[in-house]
Amino acid sequence: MRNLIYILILTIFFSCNRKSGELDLCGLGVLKPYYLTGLDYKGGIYAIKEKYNQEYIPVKKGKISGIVKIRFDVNCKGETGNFDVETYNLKYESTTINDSIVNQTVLIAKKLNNWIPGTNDDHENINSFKFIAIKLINGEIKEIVPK
Amino acid sequence: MIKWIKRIVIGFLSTILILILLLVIIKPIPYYIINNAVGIKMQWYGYDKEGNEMIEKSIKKLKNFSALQYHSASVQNTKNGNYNKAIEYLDKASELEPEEVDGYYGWLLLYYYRDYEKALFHLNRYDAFTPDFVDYPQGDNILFTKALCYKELGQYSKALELFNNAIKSELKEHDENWISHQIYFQKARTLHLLGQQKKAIEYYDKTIKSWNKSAESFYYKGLAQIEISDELVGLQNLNIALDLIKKGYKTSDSYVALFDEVYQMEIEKTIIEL
Repeated sequence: MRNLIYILILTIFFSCNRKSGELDLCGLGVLKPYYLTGLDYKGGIYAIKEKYNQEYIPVKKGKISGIVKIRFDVNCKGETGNFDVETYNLKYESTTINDSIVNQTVLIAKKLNNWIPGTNDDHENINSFKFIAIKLINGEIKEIVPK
Repeated sequence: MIKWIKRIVIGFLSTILILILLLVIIKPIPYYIINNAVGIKMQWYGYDKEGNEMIEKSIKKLKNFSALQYHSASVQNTKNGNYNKAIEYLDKASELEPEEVDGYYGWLLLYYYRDYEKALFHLNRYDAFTPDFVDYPQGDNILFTKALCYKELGQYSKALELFNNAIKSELKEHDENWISHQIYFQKARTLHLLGQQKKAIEYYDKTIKSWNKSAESFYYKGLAQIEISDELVGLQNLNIALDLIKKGYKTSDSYVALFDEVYQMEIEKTIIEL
């Protein structure tokens, strides 16, 4: 029955996710995935990598290899919030990673403040959600995806 | 009249009862097939957790969940960054039908996950199914995708060999104009990384010949020229690259960052630091 309710929600809101929290979402608080809205970052993934290169301090103790996935919302003004973290090992299984790595990577993600909001079909700025995944080997950042 | 109203009400209630029996209590196989499809669609709209719960329930109930169904269930999980689920499903799909899944899986691991060793495993296995035929996973020449893996692993000589093989395989059926910009560009990058700047410039020029708005080719060509002390011409090419990128000319993809993709900020930084 619950599934039917999901379908109903889906039909009513036609492709929209809704969330309330620390971030002031625009309009009715509807959120759409980054790949539907064209959400972008000024300077692209290069600028995001540069920010991490400048601010991340490699960690050498504990579980220091794996992937930190940070999911967050970007409102119609380009402000971010509602950060959520999941961590995986290099075999993509859920696991824990050294807190210092997780805290640093999230803190830097929160400092990314050049988001170009996503838009709807009428070219109006709207809320989106996005994730970045940071791959670390021996405490050092090896890759940040997706673009 | 009352008789007809009674019939309509009873008919309506019976339909509701049957639907409840079907959808809540009996739940036949088609229910779970639909449930799986709805779960995938919900993930597309960002309802990850709910979508995955529906997919998992369908997997449990539907015996013989196919490779294609596992593959489909993984796609949205990759796009939403749920790597544990995406890889779990793709591993199962690839175990069931490697000849169907491995090409996509290898390509995905290369571009999305930047997991070059695992990508090579799947690309090699896929390639081995048809040894006399060049496959094109997601539209890329498979020799080119394998070459990219070796290049990103720092095994440049092996990468160069495979880029050459990719070009040869393309020339078997077509003329040089057919060779994709990316194949020549990545060969040029590999030569450049091997320290063969002059040869690399030759191949950057080939890419420019095929597309004279290739910001990445002008950028790396400029860098190669500066490295061999041809600073003035090198700087000119960096400025051409900057001009092109400001006008929106560069190679990119909607979903993934390409290898050696260039950005305006990157070119500006390089010029300032010269």
